[in-house]
Amino acid sequence: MDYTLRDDLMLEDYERKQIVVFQLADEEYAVDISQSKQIIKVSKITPVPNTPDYVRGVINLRGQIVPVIDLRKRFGITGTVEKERIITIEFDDILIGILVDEIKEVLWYDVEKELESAPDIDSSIRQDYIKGVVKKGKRLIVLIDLEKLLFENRPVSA
Amino acid sequence: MDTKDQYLQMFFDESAEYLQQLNENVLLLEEHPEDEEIINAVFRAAHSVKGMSATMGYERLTDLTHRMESILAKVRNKEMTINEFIIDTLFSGLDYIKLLLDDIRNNGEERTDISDYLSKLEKILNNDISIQEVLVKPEKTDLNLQDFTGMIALTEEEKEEIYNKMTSNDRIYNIRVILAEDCLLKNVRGYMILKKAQELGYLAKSNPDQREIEDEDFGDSIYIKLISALKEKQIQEELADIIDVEQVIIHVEDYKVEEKAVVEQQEAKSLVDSIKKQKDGLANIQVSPTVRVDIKKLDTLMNMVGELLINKTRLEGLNIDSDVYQDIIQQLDRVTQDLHHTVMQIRMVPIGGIFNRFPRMVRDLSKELDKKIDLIIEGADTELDRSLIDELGDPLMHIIRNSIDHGIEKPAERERKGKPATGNILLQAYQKGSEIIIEVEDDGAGINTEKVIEKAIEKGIITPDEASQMEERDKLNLIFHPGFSTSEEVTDISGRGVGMDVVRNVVETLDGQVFVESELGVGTRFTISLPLTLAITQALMVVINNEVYAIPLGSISETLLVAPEEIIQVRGQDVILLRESTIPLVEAARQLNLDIEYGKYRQLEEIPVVIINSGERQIGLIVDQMLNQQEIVIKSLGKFLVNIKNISGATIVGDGDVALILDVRNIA
Repeated sequence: MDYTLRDDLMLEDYERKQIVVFQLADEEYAVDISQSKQIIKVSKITPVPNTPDYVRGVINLRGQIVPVIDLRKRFGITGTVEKERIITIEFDDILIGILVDEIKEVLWYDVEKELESAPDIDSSIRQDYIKGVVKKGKRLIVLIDLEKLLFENRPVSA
Repeated sequence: MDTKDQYLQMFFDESAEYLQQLNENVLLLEEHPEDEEIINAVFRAAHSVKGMSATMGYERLTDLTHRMESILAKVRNKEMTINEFIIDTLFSGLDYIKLLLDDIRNNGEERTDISDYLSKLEKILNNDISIQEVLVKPEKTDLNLQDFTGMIALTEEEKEEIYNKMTSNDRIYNIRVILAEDCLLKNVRGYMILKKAQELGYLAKSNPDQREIEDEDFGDSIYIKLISALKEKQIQEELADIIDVEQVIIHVEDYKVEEKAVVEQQEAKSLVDSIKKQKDGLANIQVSPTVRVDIKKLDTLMNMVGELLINKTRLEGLNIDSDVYQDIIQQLDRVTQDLHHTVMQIRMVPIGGIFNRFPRMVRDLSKELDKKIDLIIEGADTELDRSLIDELGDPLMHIIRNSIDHGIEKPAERERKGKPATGNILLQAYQKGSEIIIEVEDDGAGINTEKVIEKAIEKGIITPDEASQMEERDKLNLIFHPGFSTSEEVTDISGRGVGMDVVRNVVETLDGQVFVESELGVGTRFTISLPLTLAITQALMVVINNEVYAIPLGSISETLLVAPEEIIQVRGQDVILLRESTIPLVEAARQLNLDIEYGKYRQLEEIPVVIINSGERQIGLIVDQMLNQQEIVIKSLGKFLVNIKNISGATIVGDGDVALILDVRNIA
């Protein structure tokens, strides 16, 4: 009997996925919920010199130093908002905060029916950073490829 | 300890861990017989024990866990339902596992007879035992019965305010929203629930409040007092629609009568119950003399020691003139130091953990390259902080690969040179003072500095002029330059674009140093030195452009207040004379490329200057203000922000803010 195989099938849900939706300027974006750890209010962010401008700085998150990325700056969106929020994201064991305008909600979507590939849509951010678009009725939610966005051009100054 | 013993110890440790997991999870399963996640967890743990037992050659354990697994598989496939009978059977199975493990530990072999139990399992699997007669566990108590209004009781003032706001259509709803147990991102859900409630009416009170929700500081329920003209049913539906909301319980409050809080009592009672249950479940497990702890817990402990230290420093800063105060400070100082020391001690693990992976690698690579190499390992029991161990694997691997690839010659060539055909690589670790030294030494060809120079010129790293003035040592150090590779042909082994510069970077992020010594024809030695304890150091706190930075005292020779007239210009560079040596002044803000106007210090009456040792030179670093000297807990900026120029890490200061640690070693 091959238990291992069945194990995998049971643990993985192929049909539906959950995302955290947030607002950035006029558009709705989302990241996969499995990558998001928590939502925090913006407190004091200590700027880190010699880093690209989209690195807003670092914060103290319960004793851990967490870098904060300004998504507006990363996407080249101008302007600022007052009530920003930070979503913390984890890849492997790297914890990063991303600054967004507002957290909207958490949604399920159907991978087969509601997800479209990136080239079909018109968004203000670069195509390579888009994993796809979730269509909910008239709403278009841009699914961000965070891994690419954050790690493709790592902010290394040395 | 020989290898077999080591494996056996590992087997005991891990199986004890799995056994505990199994006990806990079967208990949980009893509570939540439908929960697939728990079934899977039990299944996986049983599967792991089976795998380990089979590897170690313990047949009874393997058989036993295999059949338990089969039962769980049936449960998972819904061919069998969990009932008391199955749970009991699983528990006695766990007891048998424990007996067998004890046998192995005490007698070296499995002695307990499990054939009766196995045949019982077999019968269950074949449905030979009627399980109908066994009672099915009663349903959970109805949550509706619980009175929770006490959770969101209003003060008299709040009542007055709210009652005044209410219109005749409004009603007071006491709502309990219960989140699913496996709910991810609870704070997001909580946030959504509050947001939704605000849309539905006036949110008079919530427990937890908004702040607690954002901090994820709450259990499985959110209690809300909502004033709304909407119907109960609509509120119920709207709230239940939010993802991960398992149940919404609504009481309509008659707002003239206040209900009493009984919920606290009930909660207290159920807490006692759950603790009792946990104890029962654990009673079967013998506590072993060693405890395996998640490294994250140790990190948390370390963080807490850090916070304690910060507060101790703040307390010291009060500088009260009192004997009692002095005494307390001294005691506190001793306790924090001991605590720090102990935590560091706990975090220490033998470096053998990473050394052990190299023999296999050396064997495979030497075979591939037709070389004969002996790897000699010494000092594998040298202890290092766990966080260092994790980082050191790759740099060491790279150095050893280099030795195999470029260092050790092929047997024929070695014999021509009069060396033994088999080359040696010595990998050793030892403690020297407050440092840990790791050396990789080979008796290979050595590094040909002429070739290094050639390559460096070819790659544009240095000019021929510079090369002619370089000392032998500096020439060798060129191999640490980014993008340098001495291999004439790019090989599979080490010519893959990551060079020795990566090794140096990693070591330097760990606050260590790496050196190379080499003699042509004789061999090469790489030496990595690392501080024994990383986490805490003394630092001077300074202000640069309104931000606080820490400069480790180790790199500071003194601090000065310089008057502008003491500054002399030499070739356009501001310098000061200090005991007959000329010290160039550099502005910290400029080093950090801060976006402000430089050179303003010349207008000050006295300029704060920190004299730092940068390499072999001394440099006067101009800051805006010098604060105090204190112990800081060094924290890494993480793996995302790596190699940030002139910043080596961060620390958390008294008010909880982050202060960056200046890396002054490479300041111009």
